[in-house]
Amino acid sequence: MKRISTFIISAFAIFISCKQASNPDQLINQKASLPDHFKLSELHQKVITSFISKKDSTMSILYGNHEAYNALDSNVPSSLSGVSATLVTWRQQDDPHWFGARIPGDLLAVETIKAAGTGKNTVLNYQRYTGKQLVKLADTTGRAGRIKFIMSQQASILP
Amino acid sequence: MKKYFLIPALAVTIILICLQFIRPKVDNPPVTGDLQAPEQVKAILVRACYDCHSNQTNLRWYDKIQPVYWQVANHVREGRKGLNFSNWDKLAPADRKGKLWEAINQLEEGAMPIKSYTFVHSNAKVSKQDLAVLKNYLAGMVHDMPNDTSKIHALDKQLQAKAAQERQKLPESPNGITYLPDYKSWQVISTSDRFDNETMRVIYGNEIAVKAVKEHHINPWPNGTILAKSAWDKIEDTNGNVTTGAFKQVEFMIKDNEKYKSTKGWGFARFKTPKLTPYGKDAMFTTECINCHKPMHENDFVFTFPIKN
Repeated sequence: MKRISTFIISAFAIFISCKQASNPDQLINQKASLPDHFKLSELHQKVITSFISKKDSTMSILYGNHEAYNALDSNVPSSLSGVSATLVTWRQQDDPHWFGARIPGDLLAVETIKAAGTGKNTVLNYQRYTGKQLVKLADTTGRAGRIKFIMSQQASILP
Repeated sequence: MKKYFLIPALAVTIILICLQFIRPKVDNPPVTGDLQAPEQVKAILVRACYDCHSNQTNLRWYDKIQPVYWQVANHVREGRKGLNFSNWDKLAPADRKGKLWEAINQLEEGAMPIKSYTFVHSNAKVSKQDLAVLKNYLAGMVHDMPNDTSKIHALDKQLQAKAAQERQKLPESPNGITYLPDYKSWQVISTSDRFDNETMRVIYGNEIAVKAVKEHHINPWPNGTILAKSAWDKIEDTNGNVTTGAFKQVEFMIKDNEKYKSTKGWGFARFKTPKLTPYGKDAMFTTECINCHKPMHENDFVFTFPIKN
């Protein structure tokens, strides 16, 4: 009897000692991370909203400055001057830590919108960067549609 | 020489024999409403979970040997507290679903069944095939609901109420954590599309957290780290575009090894709805938090797989 319990206790101790903390490098979502040269965190824009396209299996976060937030917040009269917004889009992947969730996988694109001029003369400049290295795209096809799409988003409710 | 061993061995044996007479009580209270699930699914759950997570505990003779019996009794008591399939009727439908997803995630991460239990009860082990059966069952519960009018209505209601909101005092969680309004301007470290409970989430990190991610110092996360996770309903249109609906809640995890020693160094808090109603009846609600986070013990109890930006 004593041998059984000693056996059980020591076996249990072995199980516990086998556990090792995961390597921190593996705990970073590398493929979804932004390249070092694209300093999103230094823009200090806040999250305006997030959305998912089930058709494309992508998920996006729209960031913006105060002016962009106001322009997309339904309760505030909108003005485009000073607007600066950044839309980041990822391919979705299954969450390795939770069955039942999808999280950002490969980084697909970053799109930026910046207002130039003031008042009625405000124009929105659009730029698209694609791929893991966020290469600047010279092609301007579809930009009006993208500006319209981004500026038609509604700010998420965040009390 | 032999005598030196004989006396302690005899003493231990006597103590062990005496211990057999001190017996904790493990009874089986009535089953008020058992989990209903397809036969195959149910069989796996009964085999792997029911000894500790139901009122149909089936103890074998070797479970009842002291001092193991104390541990067994404790597992049954704690197990029933966290999840009891025999009182399934006492849970709201959404909570039943939530508990099942949580349970299957605990199985997948190998946190359940407890290793010392499967070591003795090898038939309780959950194989890859078993897990696939369970996951299929849950995946079958996920249904697309485009243009869900109740969700659209809930969002509209919150939008209308937004202008009128004025908050004088910041709400406080039962464990003393005050709501932190500044998280809204923090950087994002991930986002999550939860198809298990039809919500979408954004996970924010304070400066310490973002710096820790950049420097890969997140196992363990440094003291002073705060993670915030806000959740919304998912509203889907007929083209599969999903946007944020009504605000559900914001949750915080605050790292302080000393202050939150009893919950693995993390202070947990949750504030629900735009009213920011603190979650939990009393300070003990954090047991629920840490139990669910336990499978992540190798990742400093954090589920989020952070993005560097």
